[in-house]
Amino acid sequence: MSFCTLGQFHRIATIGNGSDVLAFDQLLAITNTHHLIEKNHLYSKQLFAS
Amino acid sequence: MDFNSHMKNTAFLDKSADVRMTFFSENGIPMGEFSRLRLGPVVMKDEVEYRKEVSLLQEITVTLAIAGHSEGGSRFLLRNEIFRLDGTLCTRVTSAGWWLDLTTRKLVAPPEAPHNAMKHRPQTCDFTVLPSSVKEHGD
Repeated sequence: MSFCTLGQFHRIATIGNGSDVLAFDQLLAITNTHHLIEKNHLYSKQLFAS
Repeated sequence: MDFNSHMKNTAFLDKSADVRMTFFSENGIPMGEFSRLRLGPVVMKDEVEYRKEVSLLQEITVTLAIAGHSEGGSRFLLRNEIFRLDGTLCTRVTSAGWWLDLTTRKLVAPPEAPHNAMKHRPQTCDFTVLPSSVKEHGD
């Protein structure tokens, strides 16, 4: 499974034109980091800053 | 925390390392197994991008994805991202590492378990196949 991080999508959105923005939104819906975490696709841990 | 009252740079590296080792522990390679195998992951380079501040005791989510590895797994590239709970990306840490034989102090291809643990995890979209550093294993 391959995915783009949230930060990388922000860059795509910045350089995209109108039609790309639609594609970005669709991609974001399925690749949002928190979506991946919730679906247990992306390994993650909740921690406290120290 | 540092002088500016936010999480200091080395703390991001520490959180990233904690999550990496927890990942191995939860994927069939507890720390005792590394000792038994006389093997350990060693980081050769860290790249840290700071985007947003993190305050003391703020709850954060630290993710781990695979950004690259060589065919036999002797070299790897791991990416940790640290988010606030609202999804704001605060820091991205990309670490290049090798596997170190703790007896010979030489770089080696890992046993199947650690290699598989990484091989089957999500990969970043900039995933890179790295050249191997262990020619005798043919990877």
